[in-house]
Amino acid sequence: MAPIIHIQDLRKQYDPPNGVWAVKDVDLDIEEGEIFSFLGPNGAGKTTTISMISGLLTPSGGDAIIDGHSIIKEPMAAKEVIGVVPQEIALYPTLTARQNLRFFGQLYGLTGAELDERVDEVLDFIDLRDRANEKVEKYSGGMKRRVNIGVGLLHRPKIVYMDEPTVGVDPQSRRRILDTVKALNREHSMTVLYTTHYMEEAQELSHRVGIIDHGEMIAIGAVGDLISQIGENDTLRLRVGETPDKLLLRLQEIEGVTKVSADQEGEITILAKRGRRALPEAITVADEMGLRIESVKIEEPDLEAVFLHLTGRALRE
Amino acid sequence: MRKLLATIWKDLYLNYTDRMALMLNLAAPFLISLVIGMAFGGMGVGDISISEINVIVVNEDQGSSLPDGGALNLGDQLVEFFVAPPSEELDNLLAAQEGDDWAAARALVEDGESGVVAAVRIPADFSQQVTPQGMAMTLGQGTVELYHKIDAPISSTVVESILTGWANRIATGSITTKVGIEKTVERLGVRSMGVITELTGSLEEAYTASPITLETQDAGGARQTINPISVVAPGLAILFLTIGLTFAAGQLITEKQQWTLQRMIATPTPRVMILAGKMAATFLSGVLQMAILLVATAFVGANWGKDYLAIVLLTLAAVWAATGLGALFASLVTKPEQLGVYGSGVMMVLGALAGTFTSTGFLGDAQFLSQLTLNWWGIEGFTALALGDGLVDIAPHLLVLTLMGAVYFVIGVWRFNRRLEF
Repeated sequence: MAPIIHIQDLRKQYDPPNGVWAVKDVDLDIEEGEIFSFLGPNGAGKTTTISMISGLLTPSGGDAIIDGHSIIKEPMAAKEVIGVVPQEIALYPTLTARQNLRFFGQLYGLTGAELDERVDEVLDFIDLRDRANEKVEKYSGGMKRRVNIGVGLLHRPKIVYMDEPTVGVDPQSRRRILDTVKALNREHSMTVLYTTHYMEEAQELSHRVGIIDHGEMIAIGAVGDLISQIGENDTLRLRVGETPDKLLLRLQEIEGVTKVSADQEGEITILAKRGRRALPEAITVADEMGLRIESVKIEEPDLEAVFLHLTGRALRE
Repeated sequence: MRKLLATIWKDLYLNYTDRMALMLNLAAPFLISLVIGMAFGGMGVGDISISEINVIVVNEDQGSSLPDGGALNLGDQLVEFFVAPPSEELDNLLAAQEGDDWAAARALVEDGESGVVAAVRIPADFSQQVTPQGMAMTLGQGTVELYHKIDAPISSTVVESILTGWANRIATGSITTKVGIEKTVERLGVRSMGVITELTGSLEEAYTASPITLETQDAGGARQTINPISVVAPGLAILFLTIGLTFAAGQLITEKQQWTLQRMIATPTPRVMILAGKMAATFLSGVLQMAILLVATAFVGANWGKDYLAIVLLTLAAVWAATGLGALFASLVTKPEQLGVYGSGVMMVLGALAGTFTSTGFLGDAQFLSQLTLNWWGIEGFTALALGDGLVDIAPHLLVLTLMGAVYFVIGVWRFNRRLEF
């Protein structure tokens, strides 16, 4: 069976011929019914990739076949099966939720009783039917997010693209959005393409994850498979206050340590086999250099560690 | 088609449920036009965008004989005043010719195709009536007849004003006529300076006591008056149209910023339909704005002419051109706030270049700049209709405005479409 999304050699250069390559030759197949997450830091190329396969951006090369339709040659047919949920709250603030849904529903070709039915269905799904006739500008951030998602579901798409839908929302709304994504996949059999820079979200939601950095897809696979790539490495996090290069070099020399990185806030991340055994020596090194360790944390292997392993940098750097 | 209509309806709904937009597009233009119309109530003819008024002067004046054997023909002076005006300003304003048949001249005024706006008749006894006979200081009453088109009130009033001015100059002995009066006094055989002064004063007094009557009749039988708002309304209407539609087109930028435009593009709706829908809404807003301005200013006295089809077509052409200009401008700025700063400024400059606020005389040799603005073509077209011209006469205006709008629109949409690539 052919994948529902087939991306081949997709690339994008801004301001050619000398501009930056935001996406470099991405190849990817996503199967029907999958939740696939693009994981990568800000500016990695996630939104650019989504924008190209949504028909918002013209690729500099390559193509994406969406449910059998080329986004280059048959963009309208491809867009029929896609629902897009942008990172921004892409709604008219002075219109009500119902008016917003009706307008975008019409652009998806819905009319008459079918339009009314779908709008009510979506309002029920996002649990806003009782406040549907209030202007969006009067909603809380979480409610706006729910309407933003609802617009992308109006035409019952086979595939829904969600671009960082939890950015800037409170923990309660975030939980609700993640549950919504799971429900869409489980109850409505939707294929979900989800972008995030939160490792925890990708890990919780995804059947498979694609790790993207500097426009390149550096790893693709199920969460468990990706984690197993880095073996039984633990992640040690030491907060030192200052992180001189000499300290990082000394930590790198400890037996079992595979990667060392530091962020600007003075946190050192160490990837090490049997991390607990490396910890006493790391404390000793810091002590010898006259540095006081403020806190220590040991974590089991996760996608953050995979990213660190692959790029030498922490996901949030 | 449903998608196009949905886009148009949504934009119109957003526009007309926004109090600021309502004020900017509808209420403010009308109120300001009214205020400025009243403020310009005393405006002189030099501020009216009129030139080469076609007038026929029929001089039947036989002149008068002076006691010393000389002759004086004031009719000839009036003909010369019209045909070879003493000032460049008047020369630009008038395109007068001398006629010899009063009935034929009236027929030309009545003929809508002739382009003749007015005819002036100086009767055979004119000079005799207004020249003192013998030593008597009693003056008669000379009458000049003015016959003008009913549907060209501005031009007719201009001709009437010139005639009145000339008559007043005769009466007060100013300019060239004064020389004539002094010669008359000399020819009366009085040499003493004191007596000359006394006689000149008496003559001037006599003339000032209204020796010349202007008898005005229009070709339709009814007299029309000009409301000052007629003069300023076309320029202001076009100015507000360009400003209003630039802001309306700026909604494209707002939608791009709030990502609703991208969301629309992500639906299975062609980009060209989305942009066409938005421009159509802008166009309809412009038509509504112009319609309200035309009707409201007509209600307070503005004259827009009688050729309603031509008025409608010219309105549509002007709105089309302004919509295109708005689209072009929206493609040149990146933030809605820039429209407020640059948009209004540029539109005011275009309005000034077109003569919205004052004569374009300040442009000197660069008068051609006026014709590069859609404002000029709109103002000229509406003024021509107000002066009695019809659809055929404003065909060039319609063509130029339509072409301007098309060029602006294509460049604007092309540029904006490119900018959608983030």
